[in-house]
Amino acid sequence: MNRRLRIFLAEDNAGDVELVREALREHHIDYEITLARDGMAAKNFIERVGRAPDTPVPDLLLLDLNLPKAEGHELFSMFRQNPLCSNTPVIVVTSSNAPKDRERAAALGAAHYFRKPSDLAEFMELGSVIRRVAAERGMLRAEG
Amino acid sequence: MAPSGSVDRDSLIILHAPIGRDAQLLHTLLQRAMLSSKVCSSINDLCGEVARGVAAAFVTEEALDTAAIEKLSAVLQKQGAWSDLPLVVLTVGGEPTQAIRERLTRLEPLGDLTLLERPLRSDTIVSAARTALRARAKQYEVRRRDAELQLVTDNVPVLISYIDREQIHRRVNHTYYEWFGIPTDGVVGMSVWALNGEAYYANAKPYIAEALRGQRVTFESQLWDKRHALRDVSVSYAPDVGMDGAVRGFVALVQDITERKRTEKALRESGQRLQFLGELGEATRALTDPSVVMAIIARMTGEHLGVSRCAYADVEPDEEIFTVQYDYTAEGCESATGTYRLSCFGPGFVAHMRAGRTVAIRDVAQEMADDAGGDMFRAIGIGALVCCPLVKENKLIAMMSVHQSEPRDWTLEETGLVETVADRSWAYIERSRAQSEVRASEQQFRTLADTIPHLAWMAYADGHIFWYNQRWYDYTGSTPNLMEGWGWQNVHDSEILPAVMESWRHSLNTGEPFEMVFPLRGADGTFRLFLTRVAPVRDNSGTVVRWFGTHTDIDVQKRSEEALRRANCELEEFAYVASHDLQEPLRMVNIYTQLLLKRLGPQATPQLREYADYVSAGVRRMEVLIRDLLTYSRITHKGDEPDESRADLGAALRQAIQSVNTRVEENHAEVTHDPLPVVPGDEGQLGHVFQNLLSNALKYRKKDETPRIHVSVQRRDSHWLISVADNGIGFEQEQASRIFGLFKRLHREDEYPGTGLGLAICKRIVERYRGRIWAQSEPGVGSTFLISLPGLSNE
Repeated sequence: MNRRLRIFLAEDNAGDVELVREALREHHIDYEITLARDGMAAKNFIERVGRAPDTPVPDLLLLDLNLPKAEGHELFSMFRQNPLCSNTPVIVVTSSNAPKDRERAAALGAAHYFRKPSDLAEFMELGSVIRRVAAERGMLRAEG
Repeated sequence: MAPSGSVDRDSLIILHAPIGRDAQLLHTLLQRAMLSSKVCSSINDLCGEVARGVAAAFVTEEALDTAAIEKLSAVLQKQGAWSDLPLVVLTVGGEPTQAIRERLTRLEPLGDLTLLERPLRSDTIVSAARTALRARAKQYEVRRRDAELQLVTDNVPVLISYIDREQIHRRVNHTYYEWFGIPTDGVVGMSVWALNGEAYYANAKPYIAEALRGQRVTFESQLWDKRHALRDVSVSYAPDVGMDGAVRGFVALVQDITERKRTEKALRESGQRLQFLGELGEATRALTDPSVVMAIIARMTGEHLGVSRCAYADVEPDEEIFTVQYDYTAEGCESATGTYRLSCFGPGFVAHMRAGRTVAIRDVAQEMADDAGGDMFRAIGIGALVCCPLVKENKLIAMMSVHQSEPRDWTLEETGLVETVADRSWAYIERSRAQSEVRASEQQFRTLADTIPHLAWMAYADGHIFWYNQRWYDYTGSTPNLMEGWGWQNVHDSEILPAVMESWRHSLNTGEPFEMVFPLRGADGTFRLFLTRVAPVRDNSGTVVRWFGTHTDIDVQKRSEEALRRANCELEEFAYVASHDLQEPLRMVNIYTQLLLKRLGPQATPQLREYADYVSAGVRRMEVLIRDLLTYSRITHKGDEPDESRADLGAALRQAIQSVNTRVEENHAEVTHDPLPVVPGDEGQLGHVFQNLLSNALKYRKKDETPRIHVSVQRRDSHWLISVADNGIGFEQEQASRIFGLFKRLHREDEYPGTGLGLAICKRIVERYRGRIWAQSEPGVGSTFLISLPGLSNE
């Protein structure tokens, strides 16, 4: 099956939002993004998710750890505590390479830890990571 | 009958009848009556026999002319008092003539005179002879008793005499000769006054009068003997009272009690001495000031002996200079305190002192010549003295001396006392000196303890604190009463006190030192942090006798450490954030430059692509700078102290070579090294040093020469000296120290790219492990970087 992937993206940097879209486009993934530009917006979304018609449960959460107004890991925990989202895969997309961030992400069950590279081609690899994660859960075919 | 050859003179009758046959007739008559007789041929013969001892004498009248009587009287006078020789005079017949009577009168007091008329009848002769022998036998009995009495009295060591009313010695025993050296015959007839002297007589006179009144008396006196020694005597007079009640004289018994007196005196003095020494010990026991002890001993000894002066002198180690700090002086005597030279008192005195012999001088004026120290003694008013040296371990260390301004006979008891006092004084004075030294050193310790900036205290073995220094009271604002014993718990934080108590009890039980950091409340009520250390003080046997505790105020230090730790954490945090926040914009610049080119596609001109390359190069350079700065900042802030880790420099170098391998191969460089040691430090960081140095060596290589890099090692005492030498372009030696500074570079970026941080990082790493790094270089020849690093402590 090949359907539109519902992605919830928590990312404050507009440049990175555009790069995520570029990577999805490059990998021909049909997507629909709900964007939260800061921690507060992300919290509001996580609280409402699955309860209102305009906020369906996403297929995938792309989470930047370094957001204004809330800690990324805190959002991660909140998301996991929502029963509707407890099995939703989370890909951490961050510029941090700190071991403690990697450890906490692993501890919360992140599907992948994607460190933002400064090379365009390397950033585009995020698209293939998303496809692989979605395919593993039967949301997409492994190859676009 | 007496055996022939030996005549029993006590029964021998001598006969002298020079005319006719009377002599023979008498001899025959007596012989018949079994009486022993002997005929004397002359008056001289007769006198000789009488002198030798006979029982009686028969003499004819005509033989007794004046000359004969004279001779016989002389002989008879020499007979003992007991003797009254029976003398039978045979007259011519009828009444004796007046002439013969007058002549015989002279003999009457000397003998028991009997007259017999001739012609002689045999029974009359025999009867007269027997009567004479009986009378003589009684006399012999008296003689025997008298001899026995004399024998007894002569052998008694007591003067025994009979003294008559006129106080004349009538009879004395042999002891008189032994005592006075005068023959007893000479004593008889001497008056009491003449024999015994004026002094004795004055003493005895009333007792003599008493005795002559019929009273038995006894008294003690003193009597000179023949050696001119005055002896103590006990005298008894027993009156001789006649039947009529009249006192005829008295018997005197004089007994020498000198020894008894001396013994009694010695006993008495010894008792006094013991009592005195006891009092001396008692008086000085509690004293701790040596000069007071000295003063008390001098006064007590001086008063006890009744001397003019008593002094105790300390002798210097040279055994020559001595000092009298204090002396006792009786009224009218001047003090002799001062410092003297021993040799001024004469060589003899010096020799005695150094040999430890007591010197007792009765009369300085007579016994000591001026040049033998006498002048010196007299100069300080010494007429007589006893001086006892104290010699310890063959060194004269002190002297005790008593002086008398006038000559004085020192008894053995007195010199002995001075010796004993000297010995004890030394002990007392040394004891008080030791005590005052202990006190002084304790005072010094307390002063020291009050001066140090720590709080300090001392406790008994059981933990009871008996002393705090002034700082403790100043800091806690408490008082000794509040703090004594276990009161210190009041200045502790009640939350932490149980842990303190547990640890302190553990130390008290085991004797182990105590060390702990805890807060103590100050006088202002706020707590400050102290490092507390308590050490046990042990005696010679190892038993804990005291605890000595100190509290060091580490509040500021701890706060600083805490602040530093926080600062380090913040810096660490900052470094991460900085790296993230500084790199983020760069990432955007770089990635969107690439996206621009991607979007432009074929429209991108070569010039646009060149611009994009400049952007990328700037970004990369910025990234390296950020990375190096981060590395640099982390070196010192990684941990507080270098830990126990070990760095195998061989492994570190291999890792470094590996990381620059590409460039080694590209440039065909030769990298060689000695076997490298293991040193204290972090292998990764020290590998980073090698990597920087190798990287530099490759970067600053000569273009036309094969780069050669050699890493060598030398042991220098406790350090390793590691050198990294290359054959590169080198640099001016005066730049050698500058190149280790932050951002210091010798070349333009477009010649040799770099951040100027590499060697600064190396320096920080090496210094972190207590090492040193420096460089030696010559342009065109090459550079050598030298690193000195401490070896392992057990090497």
